[in-house]
Amino acid sequence: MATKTFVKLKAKDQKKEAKPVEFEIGQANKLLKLSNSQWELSDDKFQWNGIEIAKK
Amino acid sequence: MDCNCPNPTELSEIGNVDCGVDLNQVQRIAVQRGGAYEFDESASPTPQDVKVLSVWQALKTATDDTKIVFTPMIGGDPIIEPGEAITVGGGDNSTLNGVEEVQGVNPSKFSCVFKSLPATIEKQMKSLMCEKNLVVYLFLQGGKVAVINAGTGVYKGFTAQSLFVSDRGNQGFGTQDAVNFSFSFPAGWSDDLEIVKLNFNPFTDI
Repeated sequence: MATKTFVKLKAKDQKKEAKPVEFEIGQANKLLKLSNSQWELSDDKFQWNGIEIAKK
Repeated sequence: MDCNCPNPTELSEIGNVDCGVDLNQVQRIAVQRGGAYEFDESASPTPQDVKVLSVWQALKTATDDTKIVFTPMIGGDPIIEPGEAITVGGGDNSTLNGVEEVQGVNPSKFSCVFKSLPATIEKQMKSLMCEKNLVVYLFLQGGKVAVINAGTGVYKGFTAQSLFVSDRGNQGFGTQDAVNFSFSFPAGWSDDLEIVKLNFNPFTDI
């Protein structure tokens, strides 16, 4: 069984002290692709190229 | 309404009305499986503030029971018919002195019409009829949301039962096709109603 990959995103519209949230990579991709996404990548191990999240 | 014994020692207080509360027009609805989620402003490590768009976006993209789906904008006639009293007797021999007895309250019914829906959307909405445990969030004119206040900073959706999406109706030349949409709220649905002003536009931002 394949292990799921989790990625940390941070909400742009939450209070500053809000911590990044882990999402399964499929959901993280959906969140970042939203036209007015309020989420941004906050994970040193990954990068966002505007289309999908990839490992660094 | 729970009227079981023991009765309180005195009548429960009714507060003063400082300002009125009206839903006005329900313009869009969000649907989620029941019992799966509560908005909680003080949740740790990440607050689940009902007013914040990122929280709704996370629910929209969720892949579990917390997923929220959003209807298109309602096309017309959104109304909530309050449930009538369930009574026994009245003017006959079945009750003492022939006085009607109130024994309960029927569910309230929400209904509206969606106009000019593409068939794909109509079919997707109909899949909700297979779900037996749903809650709804009512987006109101002015970009507010009606929710249940479940504690300080904690909100949840209203239980929605018997959700129905009709087939397409057509009235002929110069008219828009209409799909009827309805569901029932259990008795007491509005007891803990709260209307919350959102920090985003629920009609265009999500």
